[in-house]
Amino acid sequence: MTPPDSASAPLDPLRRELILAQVQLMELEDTRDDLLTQLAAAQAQLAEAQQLADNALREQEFGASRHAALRDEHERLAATAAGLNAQLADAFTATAAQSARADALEQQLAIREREGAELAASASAATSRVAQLDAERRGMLASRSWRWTAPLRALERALRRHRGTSA
Amino acid sequence: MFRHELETPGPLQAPAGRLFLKGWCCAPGFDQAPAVRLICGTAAVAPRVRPERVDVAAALGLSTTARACGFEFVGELAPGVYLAKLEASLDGAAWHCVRRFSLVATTAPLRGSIEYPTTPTVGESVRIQGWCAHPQTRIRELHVHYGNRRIPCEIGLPRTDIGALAPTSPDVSRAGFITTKNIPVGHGALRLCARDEHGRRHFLATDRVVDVRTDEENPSPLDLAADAFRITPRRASAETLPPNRAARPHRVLFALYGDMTSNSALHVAALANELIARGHECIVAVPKNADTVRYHHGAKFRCVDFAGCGERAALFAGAASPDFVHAWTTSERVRRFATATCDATGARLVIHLEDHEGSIFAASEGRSEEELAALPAAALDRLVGDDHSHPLRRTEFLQRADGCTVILDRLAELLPPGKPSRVLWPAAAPEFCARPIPWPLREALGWSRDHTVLFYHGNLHPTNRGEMAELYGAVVALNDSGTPTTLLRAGRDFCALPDGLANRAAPHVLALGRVDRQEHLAPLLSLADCFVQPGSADTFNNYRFPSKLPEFFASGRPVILPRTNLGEHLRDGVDAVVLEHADAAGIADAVRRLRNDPALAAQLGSAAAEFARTRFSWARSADTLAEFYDALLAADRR
Repeated sequence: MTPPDSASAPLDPLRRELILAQVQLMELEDTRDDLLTQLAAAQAQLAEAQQLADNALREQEFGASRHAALRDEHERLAATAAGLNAQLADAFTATAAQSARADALEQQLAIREREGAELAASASAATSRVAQLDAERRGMLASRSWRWTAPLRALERALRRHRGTSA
Repeated sequence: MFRHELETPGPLQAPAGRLFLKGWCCAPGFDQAPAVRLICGTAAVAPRVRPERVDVAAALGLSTTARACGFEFVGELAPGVYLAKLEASLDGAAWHCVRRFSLVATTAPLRGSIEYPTTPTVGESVRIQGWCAHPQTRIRELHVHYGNRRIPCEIGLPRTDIGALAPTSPDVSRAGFITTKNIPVGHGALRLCARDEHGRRHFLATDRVVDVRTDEENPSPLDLAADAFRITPRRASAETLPPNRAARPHRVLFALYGDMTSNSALHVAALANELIARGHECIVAVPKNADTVRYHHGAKFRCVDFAGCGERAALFAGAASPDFVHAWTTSERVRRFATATCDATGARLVIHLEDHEGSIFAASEGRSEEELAALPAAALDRLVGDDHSHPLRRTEFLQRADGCTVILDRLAELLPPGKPSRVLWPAAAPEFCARPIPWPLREALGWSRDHTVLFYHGNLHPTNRGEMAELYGAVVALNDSGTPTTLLRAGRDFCALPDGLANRAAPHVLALGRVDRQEHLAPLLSLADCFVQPGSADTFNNYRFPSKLPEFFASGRPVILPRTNLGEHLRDGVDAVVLEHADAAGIADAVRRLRNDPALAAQLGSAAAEFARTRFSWARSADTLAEFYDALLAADRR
């Protein structure tokens, strides 16, 4: 049996601490390295977030100025539109009058057209009657009786001329 | 109306609360430069100076009277994030915002001074006095730090002379402090550490150094100014070429029997990291405690609990299921998980063997394998539980596997005939490398050059109890025979050593307990003169590969081990000390031989490092494994 080493036993806790201090130092270095990595990442994220925020602010400012410009343009266009609306109202009024006038004229036109049609129908009937009468006349003039009575008519005309001359 | 430019590069920050912002602002067409101001929160900061800007005036055609359009803002800001505004005004009454931007102010530095003792070096155990204040916040707690000491202080002592030094501090009239007691023995630069009303800590490095060698508890002087003992370098610095990318990447789900604190987890983690470096996708599944992956610094893989895998283990990119389930051993828990996952996904099954699990189970139950196999099914199931490998189901499991990997060639004897297999030797992490013995630390520990130090990292459990007893017995025998020897032991004890051996060995064993991170063990191995793997050829040892052996060899010290497992691949006296029986007597003899023959010890140390360099490599093992996966897929296609 080995007797306990009374000289070294009390030192063992210190030895253990000294050796484990090496491990603790390594753990602390790991933690430090991790934290440095995390810090660098956090700083990069902060810079990126700030950059994004600044970009957003610039975009917001650009949007605001654009909004103001658009609002001005809107107001200008609204004024123009109001003028145009007034003109349009006048035009509507004039158009309505013209429209009424056009309606009346259309009615007159219709009447005239109807009258025209009636006249055309009358003319057509008259023309037909003239043609009929002309045919009858030509028939009569071509008839034997007319030709045979021609001397009588000539005598009659002469008599008329003679009466006229003698009167 | 206004034109401006901020010339301080953005994003704009006020480090330690110190603001500096430079630029110019003008109003073309007006005969004067507009007034400017900076709005930060509720504070309006006026410019410190309005320099003339000839360049701006020339570029914009400003009149002579409008040249002073530059500005520089200088000031101190409370810590915080501000939405700042630069405003300009032509009449000093109507202000127009010309620019908005973010501004981050970090905390201002702590201020203070040590006033007693007055000497640059504090050499006596006295109460330290001085003042300390923060420009922006109230201090609630103060300590002085030096070395590993942290001494509290009484704060709030009246001072009337700090107004000029910290005018904005809320503590300006009560900035005095004194340590609550005489500072004890210690050495190091003196720093102040204050905690403010918001819980933030602030540090201040003073111009004093503490070198107190005696105090009430230490009347004899202690020299604490000596250099700290460090084992360096801690990290392996060898640069390695990146591996070739796989032509056909695989999705591999490793199914481990325990959590990530086991030795096997080191192997799985190393292989998974190497495979990922080659473009494969790897996930490690553990029965529970997936968060123990935190012990694997720089792990590239994801670790999940079995329950978190779901039925299809669709954890890979694109919610894909694995191509391979690599079951790490045949324990029942792993067998059930791997079988279910392969059934649900069609993944190929690969099984890794690293022990003769049948003999381990038999030894743990105190019966032969045949007796166990003959037990009624229910009784056998109860004995096997989740942790062991089932004697009958293991056979079916292996039969079903598409292929197997083994840690040692001899384990292939346990596979079904014709089963495709590969040998995957373990390796050591890069942190395990040959380092010289840190003699200053060794001597500080009281171990002179004629003292032998052995290092063994591993748990004591019923399976290796006998072998550990031989190692402890060897240490006792060496000391008994006049060879002072100490065993440095890392790991936990899950059983006791036999016959009071622990008591006899206690004076010669320094138990460090469990070291959480494997890479932190590596430098400690350099304290050793040689390493010992106890044991003899038997059913247990013939089929295992003690995972610490690659670490022993990589550390460049002589290794004493039995002629079994790795020992069968080594030449005695050339690569290592290979013993037929690494028992107490054999180990003690070998240690004495190395002690008496420093040349042999040096040669075996170099040979060990060379053997590790040429034979142990996770990269090569991963290449072998990737090639095996390829071959299994190719076999399927045929």
